[in-house]
Amino acid sequence: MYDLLIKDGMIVDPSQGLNGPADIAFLDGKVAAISPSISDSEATDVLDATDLIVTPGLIDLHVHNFWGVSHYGIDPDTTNIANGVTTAVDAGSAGAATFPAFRRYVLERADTRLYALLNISLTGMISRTIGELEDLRHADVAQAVRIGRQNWDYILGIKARLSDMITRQHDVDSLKRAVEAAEALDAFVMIHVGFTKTPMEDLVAMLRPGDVVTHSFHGNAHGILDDTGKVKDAFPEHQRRGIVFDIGHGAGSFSFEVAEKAMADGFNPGNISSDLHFYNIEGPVFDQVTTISKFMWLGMSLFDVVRLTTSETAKTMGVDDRLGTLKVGAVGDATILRLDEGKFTFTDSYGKSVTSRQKLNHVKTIKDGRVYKPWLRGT
Amino acid sequence: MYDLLIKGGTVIDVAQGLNNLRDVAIASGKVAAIESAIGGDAKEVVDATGLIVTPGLIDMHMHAYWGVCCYGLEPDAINIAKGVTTAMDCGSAGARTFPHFRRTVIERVDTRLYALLNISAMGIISPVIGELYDMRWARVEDAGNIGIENRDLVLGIKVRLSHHTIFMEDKLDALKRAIAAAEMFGGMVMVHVGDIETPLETLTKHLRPGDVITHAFRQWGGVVSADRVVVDEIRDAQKNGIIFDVGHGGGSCSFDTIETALAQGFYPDTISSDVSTLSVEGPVIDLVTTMSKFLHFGIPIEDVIRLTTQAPAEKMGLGNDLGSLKIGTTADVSILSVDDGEYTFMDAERKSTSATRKINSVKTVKAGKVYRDWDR
Repeated sequence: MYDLLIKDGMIVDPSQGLNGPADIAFLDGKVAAISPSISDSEATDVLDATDLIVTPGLIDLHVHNFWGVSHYGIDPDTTNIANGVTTAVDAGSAGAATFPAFRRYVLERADTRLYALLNISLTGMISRTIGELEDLRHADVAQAVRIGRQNWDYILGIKARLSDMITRQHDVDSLKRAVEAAEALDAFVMIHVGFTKTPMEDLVAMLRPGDVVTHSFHGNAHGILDDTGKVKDAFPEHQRRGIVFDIGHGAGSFSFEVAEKAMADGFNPGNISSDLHFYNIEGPVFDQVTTISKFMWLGMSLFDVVRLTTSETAKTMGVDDRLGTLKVGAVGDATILRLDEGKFTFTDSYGKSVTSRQKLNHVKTIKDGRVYKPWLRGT
Repeated sequence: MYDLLIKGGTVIDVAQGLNNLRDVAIASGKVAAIESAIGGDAKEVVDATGLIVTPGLIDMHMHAYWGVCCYGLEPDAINIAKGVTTAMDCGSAGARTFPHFRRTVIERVDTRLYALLNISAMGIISPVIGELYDMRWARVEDAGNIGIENRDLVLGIKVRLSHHTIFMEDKLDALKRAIAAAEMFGGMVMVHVGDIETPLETLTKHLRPGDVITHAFRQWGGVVSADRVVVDEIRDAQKNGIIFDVGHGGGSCSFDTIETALAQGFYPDTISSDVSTLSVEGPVIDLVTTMSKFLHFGIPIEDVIRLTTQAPAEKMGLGNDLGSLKIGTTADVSILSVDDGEYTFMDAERKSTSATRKINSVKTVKAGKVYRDWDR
């Protein structure tokens, strides 16, 4: 007897190459079966997903959830799991000095499956105007490694924000320290680019396979395109050697124009994330489902946008054995979406709006084999 | 400079006789102006064109003691996130558990929560073992004293009279104890009526003006008698100030009773949801769905709003500051839409009806601030 059965949905699970109608059942918090037809009588609870899309629980690789300490922070559950994101990675809101509180008061209490990237700066992202790496003494490798080791169950890597207003000429030195800390932890580095002192290609050259560039399609100085609007030669080579080019939409870091040109030149992102935070949740980002819908407008298939926020994301995080997939035995996280037809306005971080005839909308979230119901909170 | 300006909506505020296009301006958490067009600067402007702007909705009967009471819901997800700025928990906690309910729930949520204390010291914990099966739980002194100590939040006493809560021979004793405890701190009594054989008009004789019968529109044992009439004694009780509340719930509201009572000219005094773990996924869902049912059966929208704003505020003794958009009062505002479409509503008897309109919550303002659940 299964705990939950989702019937008659269209299952899109790139980890298994699935893209068609099937039923899926959950037992004891895990995916228990996927097959063309599973009978209602075999499950305690049945959800009808006729005309709906069932994907692995969506993963957002770049969010900010340290409410109350980081000025960017927003409540994790109302913004993630309530909107279809079962797993999210807080990208550097906390540093070594603030991580213990982040763990105790946020990570351990959220319904969303949260992971974190530790900011290479001790303070993390507290102020919007005073950069966390202006004083390089904050980039303390030993402290980052100590906290990273103590919290290996949550911390997947190191974040370094390299814009000049954040680092004041220290972008290269900050990145060296971030890589050093990540090496010691056997973890990945995520760099935030745009408005850097050093050209993006020189910074990316310092990264190792598996490291992540977020804000890849920003429209600021030192971007991915050359003067003629083509992708600079260095970037496809870096992508081939395993650098992950992530979106991290955010309030100032995603340009439709850059995305269109890069994709027309054959350069697709390696991951789609929202960088959802206090300053973009009421637009232009709204949520992760809107962010992936923008890539469908840009011409990507449903299968590919789901891939870039489930199986690929899980691989980048090193959790693809259990998350980002609906393989039997995997963690029972699933997201139910509807592809709505209509007229939808999408806006990028530079105020450019486009009209789309399609938008994905979130219908229900399943975490650990149970339908997420905020008014019941785990009962 | 206003803090917030809600522009272009239809303001329905019965306390001020308003059902007109009005702008509402808010400053320092209070209603600052209501006029047909407000100029001037505001830090934030909300466009309510095509929408209804009402005083913050009040749900006079729900269950918010998550984690202890078997019926308890997460208060904010079911209330303020769905247009209800003020709600009353009806008897989830008793004298023993109220201090914990206060500290861990009421003081920590964004919704403005009030409570009725259960006359049983344990409150409602189990759905099957009634809180008054052992009448030693109904201690007047304990309930009265906790009411006195928590008078800012405790508005009265709840007593549940159903086969699953009390042995029938004890029901009048329990009601008397509830009244005695309420009198210790000047609170109201709310009586949950089940199918208890005693006609409702007999029960109401024991109540005082201002006391409440909840579940009044249940199929059997409510305001409509077994031969399907609203008897004169019920009408007299209402005239004398006994409050007949809906308290829809999972088992306590019938479309047949609503239609019969309305056809005989009998309105509820307040519309409440009694939303709980039993009914949140249907048939109740939430307060705006409950309101939509009464709209469907012919109560005009102004009255539906009145019965969930001004009326409950008055009955709860909060009418000076809540339940209206009068200038100078606390700026709790619900922005609602009345949507056209095909809707199926279900009552507690699991009977369905098709409706063409539904009230939905669009945005909520509490104490002058737009409620944003992502920013605690």
